[in-house]
Amino acid sequence: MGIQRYVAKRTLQALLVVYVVATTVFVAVRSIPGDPARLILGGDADADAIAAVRAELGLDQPMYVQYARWMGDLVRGDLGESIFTGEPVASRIIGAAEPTLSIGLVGISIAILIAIPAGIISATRRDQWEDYAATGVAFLGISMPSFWIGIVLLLTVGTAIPAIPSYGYTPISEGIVPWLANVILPATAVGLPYAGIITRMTRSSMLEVLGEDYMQTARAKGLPPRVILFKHGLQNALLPVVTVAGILFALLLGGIVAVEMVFGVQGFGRLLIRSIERQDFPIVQGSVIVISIIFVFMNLFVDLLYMSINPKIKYGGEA
Amino acid sequence: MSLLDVENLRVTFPVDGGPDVRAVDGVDIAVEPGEIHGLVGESGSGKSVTARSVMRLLDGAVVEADRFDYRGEDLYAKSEAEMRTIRGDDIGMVFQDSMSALNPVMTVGEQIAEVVRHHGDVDESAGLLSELRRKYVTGTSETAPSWRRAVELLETVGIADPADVATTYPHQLSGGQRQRVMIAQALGGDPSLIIADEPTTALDVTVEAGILDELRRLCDEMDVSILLITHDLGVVAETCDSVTVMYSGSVMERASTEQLFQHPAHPYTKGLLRSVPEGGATDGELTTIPGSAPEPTERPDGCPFRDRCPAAFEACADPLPEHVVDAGHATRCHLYTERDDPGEVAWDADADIDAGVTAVTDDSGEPSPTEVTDG
Repeated sequence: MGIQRYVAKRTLQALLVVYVVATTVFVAVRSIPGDPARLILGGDADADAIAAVRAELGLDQPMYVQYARWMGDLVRGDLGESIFTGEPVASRIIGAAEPTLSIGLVGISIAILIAIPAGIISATRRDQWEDYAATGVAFLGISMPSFWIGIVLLLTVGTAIPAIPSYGYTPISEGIVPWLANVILPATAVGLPYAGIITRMTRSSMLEVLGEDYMQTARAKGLPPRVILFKHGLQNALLPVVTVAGILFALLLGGIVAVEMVFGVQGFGRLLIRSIERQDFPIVQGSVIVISIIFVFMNLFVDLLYMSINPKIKYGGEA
Repeated sequence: MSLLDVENLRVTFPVDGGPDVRAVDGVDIAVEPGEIHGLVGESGSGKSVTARSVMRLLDGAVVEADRFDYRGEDLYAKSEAEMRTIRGDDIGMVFQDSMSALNPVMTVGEQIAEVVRHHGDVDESAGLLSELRRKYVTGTSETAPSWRRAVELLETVGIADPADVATTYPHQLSGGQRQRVMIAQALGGDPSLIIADEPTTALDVTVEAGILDELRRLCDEMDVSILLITHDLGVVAETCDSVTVMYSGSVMERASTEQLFQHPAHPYTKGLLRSVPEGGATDGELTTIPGSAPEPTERPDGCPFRDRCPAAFEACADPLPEHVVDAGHATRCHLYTERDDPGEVAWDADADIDAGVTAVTDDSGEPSPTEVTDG
């Protein structure tokens, strides 16, 4: 099976997953007690006014009619408008997704840049001080929640270095440097726990690889130690790490919600939480769909990456 | 001068919270230029440890010897950097399990080509950055001299379509092909000695015969000496010029192959030869040596074989002597030094054969295709 067919097949599967998620969230938001119309009009609004707003929003229709209408819009790429502000859901999501994805991607980059070298050093200097230092710091990283790391960073780095803003977000369109200065602290906060896990994964995977027969073969071939480590060992050691790193990206996105609060970033997490509170159905539905799309395609990306570094895996699964 | 000359080798593995394990206890090995020397013994006799000690690949083990010379130079006096030029360059190694001993994420061509780059006569950078660039960015150029040499070597070891095979990964090849790749890899630095550690044990009999022929041919045509480690006397008979028999960390007998098979001296050797099934005989039980080899920590004093030896007597508890039987033929047995006439060893056909006794040889003596179909 060629790569195109494989990707096409996986994309179809992904769309199916997104459809199931969309349907589930549609039902779920409508199962929450409460009524958006009442929230819009306030507690003492009379029944006629509430009924009028419900009719305007289409909430008086039977559930299956609402569902069919919403699905019809969705297929055409229309996510609808916010119940409260009337803004298109798509533009609200795009506006909120940029800071969140910035923090997430910078965070994962920081994590990988720290974790993989730390894991390799830890494994090759097993039971020496470098190993104890790396595993100790990794353990600290795993133990501390992101929002707490965020607060500590704010109070230390944020106050010590005025060039690093400790609040809000600067879009990337205003320049890489101001954007990065703004993103670096929240990204570090979400990245460190992640780095802790990847460090430990890399360490144990590398230790296993160091004991493999082909590493002894490489020594018997008279190759220098660093060529043996990085040419023969690294790729094999990263095979399991890549899989876990991809799955963990989901956890990292979850951690961003709290960090956005700490740093006052108007991101995806805030948007989602506020919309759930206000029962802004279209935004909640749209956000969850976008998140599920990110997840399934992240998974596909990780699988493709895994195949590219593991020659034993072929598209479609036959070994 | 012997190519490899090892005297009184002792290898000890320290064990946390237990007695140290002496895996090899006073072994002499000599490999002459241009010969295939067999090192034969049961599992656990210390033959693989002996082989790895030549490459200094035994991490954490204490290796001692009265002499450990390769081309007259003490291998254990060399620095690690000097050892790296000897490994792959002067001495190549072929491991038993080619599936795990080849790197699963590298093409076999590259695994051979890198040996050529590090040890061969090609003008290509083999520094860390060049190697990493080749590995992760550009791949090895198929016009590079090292790659072309790798393809040549694959052809030398009898691979059909060597250019195509060079671009495959180990899991895409058969066991026999992989073992040929291992041999080509060991030849990459144009070595004088190849250590082959049970190179055919994982292969079926017909493929085994092909690999052994290949080793014989390389020895004859390319002036390479081979130290062939095996548990199979059939392989020795087929391939080797001379042979050292090991038992439980010690050498029992050393002889030319002809001397060993015609006039075995040590009771253990005689027992081994008696246990080899006759070609074509398919009925009746296999004869075995009663009992099993002792654990390294439970070896008796003196001769390690004395508990299983039908000719054992009091003197066997003394340290092993050395007795020269003939030119190039020596044994370490008290029967020859303590008695005027060693007599015949009473290997009784009805000897006490318990359940669980290990047959010494795993394979038939004569690897022939007809035998496989009959069996």
